[in-house]
Amino acid sequence: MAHVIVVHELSNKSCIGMESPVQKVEAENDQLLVDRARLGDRHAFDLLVLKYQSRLLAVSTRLVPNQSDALDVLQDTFVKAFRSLHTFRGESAFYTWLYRIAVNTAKNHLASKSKEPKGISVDDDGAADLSLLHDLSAPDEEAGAEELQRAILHAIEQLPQDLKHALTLRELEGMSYDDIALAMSCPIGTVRSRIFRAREHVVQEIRHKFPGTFL
Amino acid sequence: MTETLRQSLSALVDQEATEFEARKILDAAKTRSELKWYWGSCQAISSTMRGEIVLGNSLLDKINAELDGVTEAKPIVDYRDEVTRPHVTVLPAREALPSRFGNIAGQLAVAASIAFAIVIGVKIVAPLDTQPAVAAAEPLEIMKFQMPVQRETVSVDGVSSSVDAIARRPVARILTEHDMKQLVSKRLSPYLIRHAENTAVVSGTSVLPLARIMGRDEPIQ
Repeated sequence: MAHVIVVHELSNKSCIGMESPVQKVEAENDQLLVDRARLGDRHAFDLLVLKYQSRLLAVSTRLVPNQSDALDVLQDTFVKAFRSLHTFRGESAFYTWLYRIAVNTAKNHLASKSKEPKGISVDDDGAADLSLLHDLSAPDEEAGAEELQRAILHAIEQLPQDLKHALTLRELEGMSYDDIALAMSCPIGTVRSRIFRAREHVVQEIRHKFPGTFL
Repeated sequence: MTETLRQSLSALVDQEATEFEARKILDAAKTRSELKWYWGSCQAISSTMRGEIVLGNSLLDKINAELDGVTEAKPIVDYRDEVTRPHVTVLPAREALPSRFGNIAGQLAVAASIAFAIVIGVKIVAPLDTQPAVAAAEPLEIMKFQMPVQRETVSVDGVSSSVDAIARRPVARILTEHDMKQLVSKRLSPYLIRHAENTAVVSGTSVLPLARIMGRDEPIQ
């Protein structure tokens, strides 16, 4: 099991080393939220949780045997992060700091569960047997999340071409508004407006189909 | 939630919001819960497009419950006899006394060290104060500016008598006109920025105050 953790840790560290443009910008701009959270503003911390929970779930899912444990690790990670925000000095990106906490929390979680070993199998390439990940997760929640994702993707598909293009360049390519404006040959204000309208459309769809999920 | 605020929030999701917008959103988040869920929806869209699992707000609720639980569990609780006793156990006076004495002793020690530091500080500063030759060489206008600055600095320590004594003496360290301008500028800038922020919030004609800030490179007349 220890070998498994090392394999995944290394692969994740290498992922962190390759910073995308989005991550670079985020590193600078999270500071305002972090500063507020450090002063005890729980709302600012909530925004940070909502921002990073999915990304960190992907990390913790690779470190622990099943999704239920991954969710526990994720919850512990954020609780520990909030309690030790005063130790975050901004030398690294906030996500990198969270990532370290998540890895340590996963290690502790595995150590505490070592008496009842029920690990995931890993083949020679280090790829986990992902079929086991769904064994213990709540089926209703999982189905709900999948349905939500399908609805979001469907709503994105329905967007007018210019809105979809702007949103895709931002979310998938990680381009700044300036770069998108250049790529689409339009003013930066138009880019901002298009991305906003694209999101508005999708959010309205979510609100309509899944009342109470977010809005 | 207004469309302008939602548009600002969308820009903040992309790290493209201005600092004014970001602060406005964070302030609004304290009172408007729908803003948080709009943010969550935007993040869900991002996660879906990146192929990550969407979690919704269930995890956030659990985290908040745990954090609230921690703060609620702070009082000392005696569970041995839950039925007959109140939940919060009051410490016996015998046990509480040493900590009270400790607190009082600590406060006295802090007060004594502050008083000592002030006495030493005044002794160090006093020789510098008695330089009438230098003071006379400086124009009278500068001295007028300097008096309130000195008074305010010393009054932080809470020693009013030494404040008056220093204020009545000739100028200790004479600030040049340039220094005075820097001091005034330092004090003035935050007020101007706050004024601009307020103006930006309450009215659409906020260009003028901002323009004033932008033009602050020029020396103050």
